[in-house]
Amino acid sequence: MAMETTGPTIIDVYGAPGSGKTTVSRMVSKKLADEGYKVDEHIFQVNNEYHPVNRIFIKGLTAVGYTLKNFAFIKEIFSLAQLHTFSSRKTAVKQ
Amino acid sequence: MSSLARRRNQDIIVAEKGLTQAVISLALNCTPKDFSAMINKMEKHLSAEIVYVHVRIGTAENLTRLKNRNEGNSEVELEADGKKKEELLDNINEICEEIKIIKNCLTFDNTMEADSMEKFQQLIEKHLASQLKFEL
Repeated sequence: MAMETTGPTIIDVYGAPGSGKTTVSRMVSKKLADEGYKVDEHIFQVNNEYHPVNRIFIKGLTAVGYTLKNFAFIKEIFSLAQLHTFSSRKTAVKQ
Repeated sequence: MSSLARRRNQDIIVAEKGLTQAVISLALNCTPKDFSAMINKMEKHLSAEIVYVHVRIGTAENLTRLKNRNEGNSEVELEADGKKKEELLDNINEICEEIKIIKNCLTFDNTMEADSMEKFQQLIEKHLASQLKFEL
């Protein structure tokens, strides 16, 4: 199995609260896992970069190299943007 | 590749409450023209292929589900009561429908029935095989 995309493909699930977004997202994730993709599930319950879960995730990111057949199921994608901002700021302070 | 893409190092990101959902939250306070511009900017910034999946449900079923959530002490996502909640849901659904006009979306009508899920599963499989260029 191979994909012809330059960057990651984003499957953006949207709808009203209570419409069934989680169910659909999990169904799509399961399908991808069945197709041989490695499921890398990160669920961000708290939109806060200081939350322990997010700090563990930052640590994990630095330890993981590039792997094919990889995808993430993210509940709050905008928290990643926040993580990036936080990480850049931290690097700038170190320098 | 965008900073998000480099950071994630992933081939596929399944985003529940993703960027479109953030745009919807913002769109509740702006015009359709504005949120159309926001979605386009979002795509440009990400430099990634985005597959839009719209999940919709009838207002009555939606309200029942939200009520059950509240009673089950799970997360409360809609901070409004009674008629206001219904109006807010209508607004959100209206925005979702307008996004469908702007973007080519897969739509899932959640009727909470097993065969509905099965149909959507088939739709997803077909879509993954064609649009995402999978070589099975």
